[in-house]
Amino acid sequence: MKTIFDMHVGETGTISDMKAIDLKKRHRFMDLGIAPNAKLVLLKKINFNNLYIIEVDDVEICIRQADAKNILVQI
Amino acid sequence: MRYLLIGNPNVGKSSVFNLLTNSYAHVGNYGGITVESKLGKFIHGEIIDLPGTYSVCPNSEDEGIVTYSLINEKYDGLIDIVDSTHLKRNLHLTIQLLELGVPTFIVANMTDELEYSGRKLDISKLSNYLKSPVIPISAKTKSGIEDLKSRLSKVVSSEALQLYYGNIIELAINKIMPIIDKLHLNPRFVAIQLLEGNTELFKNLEKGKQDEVKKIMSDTETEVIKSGTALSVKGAIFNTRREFIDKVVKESLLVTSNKNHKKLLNHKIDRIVTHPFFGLIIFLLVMFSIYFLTFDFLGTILSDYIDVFLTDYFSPFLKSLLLNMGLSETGIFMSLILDGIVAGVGGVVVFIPQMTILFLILAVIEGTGYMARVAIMLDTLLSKFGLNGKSIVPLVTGIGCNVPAIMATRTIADKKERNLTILITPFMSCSARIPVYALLASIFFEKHQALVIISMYVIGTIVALLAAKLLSLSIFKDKANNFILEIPPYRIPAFKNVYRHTKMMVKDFIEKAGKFILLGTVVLWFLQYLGPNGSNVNPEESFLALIGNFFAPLFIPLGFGSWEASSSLVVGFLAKELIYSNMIVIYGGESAISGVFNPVSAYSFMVFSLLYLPCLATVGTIHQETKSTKFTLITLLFTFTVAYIVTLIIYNIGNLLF
Repeated sequence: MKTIFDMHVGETGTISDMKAIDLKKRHRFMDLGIAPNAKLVLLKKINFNNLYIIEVDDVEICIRQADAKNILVQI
Repeated sequence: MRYLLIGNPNVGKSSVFNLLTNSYAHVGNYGGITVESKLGKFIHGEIIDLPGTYSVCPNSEDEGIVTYSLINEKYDGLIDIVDSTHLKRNLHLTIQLLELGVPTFIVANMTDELEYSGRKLDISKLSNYLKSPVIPISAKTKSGIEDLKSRLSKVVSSEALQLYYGNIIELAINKIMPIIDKLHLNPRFVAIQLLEGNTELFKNLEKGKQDEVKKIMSDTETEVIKSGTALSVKGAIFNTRREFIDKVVKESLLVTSNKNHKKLLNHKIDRIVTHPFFGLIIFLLVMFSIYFLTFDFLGTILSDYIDVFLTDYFSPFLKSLLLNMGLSETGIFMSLILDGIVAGVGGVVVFIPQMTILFLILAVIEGTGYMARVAIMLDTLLSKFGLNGKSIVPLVTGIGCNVPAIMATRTIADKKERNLTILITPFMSCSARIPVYALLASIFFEKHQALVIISMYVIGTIVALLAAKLLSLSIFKDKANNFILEIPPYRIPAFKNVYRHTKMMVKDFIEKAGKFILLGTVVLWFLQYLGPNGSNVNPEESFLALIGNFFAPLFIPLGFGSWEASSSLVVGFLAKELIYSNMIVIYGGESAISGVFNPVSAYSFMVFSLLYLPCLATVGTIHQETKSTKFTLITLLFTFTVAYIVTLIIYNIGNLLF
């Protein structure tokens, strides 16, 4: 299984699972559209790969590497 | 008519509010900048501008206000502002509002940007799906605003939107609906919100009903997880809404061109602005230009003009006027007005140009969307100090004034992380501290004034970061460490928004100067005019000296153990500008100050003034925001202790070196 962390820049994927993230934070992500079945594109990795910029529903969102490792994706 | 204005963060909600109402609202191109609701009047009634939110169901303090207003405010309808370029995300909130069944105008903003990005909205299709009027506008080009205004003259009653959430959840909705019949909101809406975990609505239930609802919620949660349809009830509800939205958007958003110019340009700029090296250089350049424009160049020149006007023209004019009115030259009123009020308030008025420029620049930067990039760029660095990138907004705003800075922390969702940021924000040198820096720097560091003043900002920032580190390793050890940020596209800030924001901040400052500082200087003057042995006493025998002498021994190790200095700090707690006013009033001018301080003690006095205590207004805001007297007292004790230790170190090092 791949996570956002494993994706390479420009790749598109569909979120399959994010159980590894605690519920409260998961709901925060959900508000921004980051939820299972959502399509995403990894736009770039910045700050020496500490931050991941993804695009979900036409919105660019910045997340941390630790969270990127916890979001499973289907390529 | 009375409307609630609701929408996602950063959709131009406050811009629309400004266009509709002709009154002030703080507007910025950074998520969550409207930190409290504002009321504005327009031709057909009133509009209440609520903070931006992704969902009716609150995730942070800021978002709780929307549910609170839906329950407690009186309103005839809702105005839901959506960003038409981010329709999919925005409609999640719209659906929740439509489930409420209150007349709702859906305002599709940024249609100009949508066209520029090669897409177009089919308004009638969208309106049909949502069963509510949709009005396309652009707050930037002002198109559609007149249409919107006239449509708002009357509300059209609308039926609640009803989505089918699947067997398990529909069953739970039907179980909850009869329980909550006493709330005046649409029961189906309330039931869905409760299932999503809306704590604000839950609080409004009676105790017994809370337990009943809680039972249904946890049963439903278990069933949803067992069925495998979603990870939680909220997730299942979200999925249903997303399916509906996908269908709506697919039908009503038409692609006219495949090239998205805006996006390409944004990415090009971001490649440089968030670059680990060039990005940092740009940030430092921006910060440096702010200081240069404010303190070294434009601001100082304008301030000098005001100073010349006050001392050479206004004061003599007022004096002759008062003499003509029959006041004696050596009398009490003459002294009160000229030495007390004019000197004290005037000294602060001189700094209005500098503050105006500072607030103006901050408003422009806020409006461009650059702040979000700074947050991203500095996140990794700030996370090393136990903060996150979002803390940069309060910290930079704190340079203007600590009060809005403390309020800006509302966008930080985790409570402990937010409290940590609140605790260190007062170390950021606000504009009210400029007068005392400028005074002492001009006397003792004539050749290096700008450098000395900049060093105050550097010390404040370093102390804030180190304090954050210290706290995150100790009392805030178990706080969450989150960072998730929507990146807004770059925008050219609207002149009107920048103008209104700056005007509001400067007006606040002048009002404060008018009330607090005027009152403060009058009280001060009396405290130094009166003493235990009567009136017109020697300054050393005045009440002010009495107060100052009481605290003075405490400050001897820091190099300024005189009653004059310590009484300045005492009154400075009311408003930091008063430190300056007090010194001018009791020392009676700059030359006297040069006799009692030396460069080292003057510098340590500046450092102490920077760090020692947040002003009364800030303390009030901290209390109001945290709703904790204990936390507020801890903040006072903490900042004072840190100030004392840091100043002690600086004073002793200074004495060793010079």
